[in-house]
Amino acid sequence: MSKEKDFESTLKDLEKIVGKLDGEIKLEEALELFEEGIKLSSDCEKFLTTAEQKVELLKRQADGTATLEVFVEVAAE
Amino acid sequence: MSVPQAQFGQLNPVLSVSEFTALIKDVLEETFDAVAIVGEISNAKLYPSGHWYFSLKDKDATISCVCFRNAAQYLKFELEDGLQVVAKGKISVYPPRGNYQIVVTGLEPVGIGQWQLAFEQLREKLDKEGLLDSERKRPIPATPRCVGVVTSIAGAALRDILSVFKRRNPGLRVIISPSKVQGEGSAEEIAQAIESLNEVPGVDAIIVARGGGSIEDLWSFNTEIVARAVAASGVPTISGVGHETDITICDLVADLRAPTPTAAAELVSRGHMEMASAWTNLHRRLIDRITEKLATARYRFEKADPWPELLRYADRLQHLHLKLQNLRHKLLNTSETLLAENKHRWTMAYEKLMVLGPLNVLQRGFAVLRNQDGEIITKAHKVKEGDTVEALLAKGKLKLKVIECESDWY
Repeated sequence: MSKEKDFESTLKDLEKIVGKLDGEIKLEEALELFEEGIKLSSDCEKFLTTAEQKVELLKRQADGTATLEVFVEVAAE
Repeated sequence: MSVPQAQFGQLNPVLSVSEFTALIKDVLEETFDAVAIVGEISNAKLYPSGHWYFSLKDKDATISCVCFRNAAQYLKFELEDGLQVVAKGKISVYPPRGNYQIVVTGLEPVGIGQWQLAFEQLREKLDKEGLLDSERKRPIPATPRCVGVVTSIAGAALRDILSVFKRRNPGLRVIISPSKVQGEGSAEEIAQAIESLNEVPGVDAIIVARGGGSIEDLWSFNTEIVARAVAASGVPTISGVGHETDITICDLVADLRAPTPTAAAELVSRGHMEMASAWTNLHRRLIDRITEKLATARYRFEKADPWPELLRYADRLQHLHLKLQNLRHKLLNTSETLLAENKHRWTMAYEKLMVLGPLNVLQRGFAVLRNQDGEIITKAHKVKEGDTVEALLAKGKLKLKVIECESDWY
C-alpha cells in the first residue's frame, strides 16, 4: 500500500467499486472494476496480515534528542 | 526562664526594644513550638519564591501564617480563601516588624480529603481554562499505524497493552516512551515522555497508562504538569489509568478516557478490527458480484451465440438425411418389387394377349377390316359399295375397295 494512501481510504475506494458493481453495468466495465477492486482488496489484505509486531523504545539522550531502539521485553517486576 | 517584673514606679531594669522582643520571641516560640489551629484561610498568596502567605481566621480573631516552600511543595491542594483547614506548625516572632505568625508545616482541609480537594481544585482550574471541554476532544484515528505508549517499562500496564496489540493489531508500530509512574519526580517524567513522543514523526495516538493502585500511587496522573502535557500534546491522547472506578485528571484532559490500560489498547485496535471485518465483507461482495456478472454474461452469450443452434440444426439435418436415405432405400426396394411384379404381369398379359389376341387369329388366316375412320367393321351394311376399307393381316395390311355388299355370307 502506498504511504499516501492509508488502509481506511483504500477500503473506502474498494467500497465504491463494490457499490458500482452492484449496479447495472457492462461486463467490460465490471471486469475493469473487478481488476481494480481486487488490487485494492489485496492491498487491504497485506495491511491486515502484516503479522510482525514492531515495538520500539524511545530514549532521551543527554543532548535532549530522542532516539528509537528495538524494544526487548523485560521480565515483570 | 525569668521574666523581669516590669511595673511603673518600681525600679526595674530598662530593656531595649530588641531585648524585650527577644524575650517575647523566646517565650512564645518555646511555648508554642507545636500547635494545631483550625480556621478559615483568607488573603492566601503564593510568592514566586514558592512560599505561601495567608491568614487563618474565625469569627473573632485572625492570625498570620506562612508556609515556606520546603513544606508547601508537599501540599496537594491549592490554598484558597474560605477554605477550612487545620494548620500544624509553630509560632514565630519576627523582631523587625514586631509581629508573630504561624510557620505552617502541614495543612489539612476540614470535611474533605486533601486528595479529593486537590483533585477538585485542579479540575476546576482546568475547566475554567476550557481544557476539559468536550469540543477540545479530538478523534482518535480509526486505524492508527503508530501508537506511542507512556508508562513504566516494567509495569503490568505495558504487558497488557502489548498483548492486546499482538492479538488484535499485530501490524501496529508501538513506541514506548518510558516513565516512572509513581513517586518522586514521576509526574515530571510522564510529562516529559509525552512531549518526547510528540517529537517523533508519524505517531498517530498516545496512550498514557498505569495499572491499578491507591490514590497516592495514581497521584502523578492528577498533577497539573501531567494534565498540561496531555492538553498540549499535538497527538491525540488516550488515558488508561488505574481500574475502571479510578478517574484521574489525566483521564479528563485526554481526548479519550479508557477505563484500564487494556481497554485503551482495545479502543485503539477497535477501528482495525472493524476495518478487518469490513474488508472481509467487501472482498466477499466483490467476488460474489463478479461471479454473478460472469454467470449472467455467460448465459447471455450462450443465448446470443448461433453455434449451439447450428449444432442442433446439424443434428436435425443428419437425422433428416438418414431418414431420407432410409426412405430412398425403401422407395428403391418398393419400386424394384413393383417393377419385378409388373414385369411378370406384363409377360403374363403379353402371353395371354398372344394367345387370345387378334394377331393369333390373324395368324390363322383371318383379317381385321377397318373403315377409314379406323373403326372395325363387323357388319356388311356398315359399308357401301365404293368405300375404301383397310384389311389388317397377320403381317402387313391391304387397302381394299368394296365391290358389293351382301347382308349374309352363309
